[in-house]
Amino acid sequence: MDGDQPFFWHQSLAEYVAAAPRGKDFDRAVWRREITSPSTRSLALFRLGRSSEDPERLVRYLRAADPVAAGYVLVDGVTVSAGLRLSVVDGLIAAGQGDGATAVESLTLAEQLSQNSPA
Amino acid sequence: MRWRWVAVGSALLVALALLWWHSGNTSVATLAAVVATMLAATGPVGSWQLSKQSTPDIVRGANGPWHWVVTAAVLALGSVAAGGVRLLGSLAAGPGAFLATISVLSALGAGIALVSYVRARRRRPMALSESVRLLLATQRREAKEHRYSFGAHVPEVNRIYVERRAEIARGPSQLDAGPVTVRQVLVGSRHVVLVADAGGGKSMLAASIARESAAWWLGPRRSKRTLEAPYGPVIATYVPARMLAGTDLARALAAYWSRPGGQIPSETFRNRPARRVDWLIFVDGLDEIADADMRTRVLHYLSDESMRATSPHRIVVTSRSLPPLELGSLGASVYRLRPFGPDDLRDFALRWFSARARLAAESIVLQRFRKHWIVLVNGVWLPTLIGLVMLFIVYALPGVVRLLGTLIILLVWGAWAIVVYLQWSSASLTVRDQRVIAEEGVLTRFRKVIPLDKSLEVSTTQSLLGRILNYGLVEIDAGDPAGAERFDYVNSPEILRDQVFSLSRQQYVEEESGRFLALVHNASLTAMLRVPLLATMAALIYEISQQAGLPTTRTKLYQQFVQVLQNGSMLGPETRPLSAPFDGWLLDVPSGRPELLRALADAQLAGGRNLLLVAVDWVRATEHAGQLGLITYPDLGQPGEVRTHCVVVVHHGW
Repeated sequence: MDGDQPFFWHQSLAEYVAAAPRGKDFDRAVWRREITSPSTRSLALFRLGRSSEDPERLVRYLRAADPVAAGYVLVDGVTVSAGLRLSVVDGLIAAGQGDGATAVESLTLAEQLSQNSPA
Repeated sequence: MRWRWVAVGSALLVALALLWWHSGNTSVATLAAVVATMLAATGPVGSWQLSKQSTPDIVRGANGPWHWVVTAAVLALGSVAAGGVRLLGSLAAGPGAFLATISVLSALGAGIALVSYVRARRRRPMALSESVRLLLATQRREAKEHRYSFGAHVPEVNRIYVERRAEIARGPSQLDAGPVTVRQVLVGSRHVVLVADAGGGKSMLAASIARESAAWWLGPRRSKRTLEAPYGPVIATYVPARMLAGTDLARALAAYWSRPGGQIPSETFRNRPARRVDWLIFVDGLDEIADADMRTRVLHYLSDESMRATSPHRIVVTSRSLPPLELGSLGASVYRLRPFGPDDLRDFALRWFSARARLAAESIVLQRFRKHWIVLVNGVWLPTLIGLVMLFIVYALPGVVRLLGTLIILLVWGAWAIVVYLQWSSASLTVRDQRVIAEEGVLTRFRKVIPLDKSLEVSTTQSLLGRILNYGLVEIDAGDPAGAERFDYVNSPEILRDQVFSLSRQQYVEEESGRFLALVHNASLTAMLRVPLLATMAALIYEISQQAGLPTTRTKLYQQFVQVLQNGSMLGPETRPLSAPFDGWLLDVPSGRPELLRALADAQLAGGRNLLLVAVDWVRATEHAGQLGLITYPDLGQPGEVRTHCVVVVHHGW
């Protein structure tokens, strides 16, 4: 029995709603933890999308610290300058050529980003 | 069971016929044999036809062919009886020949009945228990519906489903390293984990496969071997993973698929659905069990079940990515569903807009339209009148001249009538996939082809007589400067109009798909719309926003989509739930109380708490406490499932 209870019909909708800004704080440390875990990545991306955080600054920071996370942010549709986007793609390709745990993921993200550049 | 009484009656009559013959009453015996043969021939067939109309599909599949066996047996008996009477008796030539005829006809009928039996048996669905057939019928009916309510009309799952491919993520695989179809994965592995991103089409995949499987097993496939079933000798079904909390697969499946008036016992799922056939069970959305402890318990249970040698269950777990140790504990190969590539997205768009166009074109039967028979009447009524007048005149003339005149008049009238008929029969309009072909003429043939590669205006005009007799004028305007093509006296003009219009929708599908994909590209969404849910959202927003543009980020896409959902929830009272008042109030929350909605979202993501209780607590702590007076906790709801056009669904277990 599922029991008598309401639920959001898709988990991503619950994530979108839960990501509504509470106050003006955007806790970058918490966000980093969330974007790294596959199970909370979607929530993290919604949090960023619904916050007033400057995506350009965040992606610039992530480019060096966590290129995969930067890739996910760009695939989510967040717009940054063309130069920064290109350097993120370059970083992903470089990571993909190594034999690290994120190599395949990096190449997949680079492939996705190359499919359509911003108009 | 009327046919059985007919069969018994026929057999009795045959016995009586033999008795009467033996006592010398051959004429009565002949009559009895004739009646017995007629009964045997018509009774069971008529009864079977009646039973087809009144018996539900699920039950009918098991019985049909036996009627033919009885028919054949009774006819064969009649044949032997009649033949025996003829051979043994010293009858007069008349009754003897009659009995011989009956014997031959009965033997022929028995042969036909036997052939019909073999054919019916080959077409008969697989012999399955009633509860399995009920499950399959429910699956076939419901799996085409989306698990979610989109706040607007969305084409059925099977119409927009794009076949998915997957690649190995972890674990052993006997398949090629490259992407393979999900079908190959399921056929090649006993237990599988399928991983995809949020909205990656996991539920849609499970529903599509369950529907395909149900359609095959309910279909006329008796002669086929179970190995030929889609995905091998398995019957596919699915259950949300969260329903496994604190229970086992059989109970969860029974609870999920039972409906009021159609209970499926859990025993159904503890045994194999048929000999040497397993259940292929999709445990959908493991990640939606947010409580890690509960998820671990479910994983342990599934792991034990997958290792049980005698288990009738093949398990497919679908989930978002989870920590490797969790999914690895199942001991099954982990495959990742490939996201949509550009070709998949184009395929999705074509399917979406085809489904829209097909709403009006489902009944298309490509066919040939003749002109109406009124053309024949128009062609001959005046010559007929003139001919009658002339015959009247000729009738007053002397003998030979009268005969000659009459012959000439009839010959001329006949020739005229033949020409009119040939002209009528040679004129036709044929509707094909890409064109309409108009043809007429006997000696000189006129042929005109109207391509359906662009949008057409199609109109019909019918006079009063035309409406009564079902004919009229059809005009097809393809934008030609010479004007519209006109076809008069067309039989069933409205059917022709609908067919031409629907076929010209092909062009609409191409154009709309192209516009949609161009907007997706312009909004830089190609990389994002790699999962079916987001593609569906984008297509809906594209249609609702009148093709004005698409949002450029996933967050904005959700923002607009939630707006669509909320607008959908305000469609009217018929979309509101029917259960307890508190539920109704709760479902107004998205537009009225975003903070409660957020509290519910937090609780769902955290897992472990009944969201209705979360809502009750929230209400208690706010100014809405008065609402609690409307509910009698814990009787919060009524049996059944209540869906709304909101983001929140109130689900009551069946």
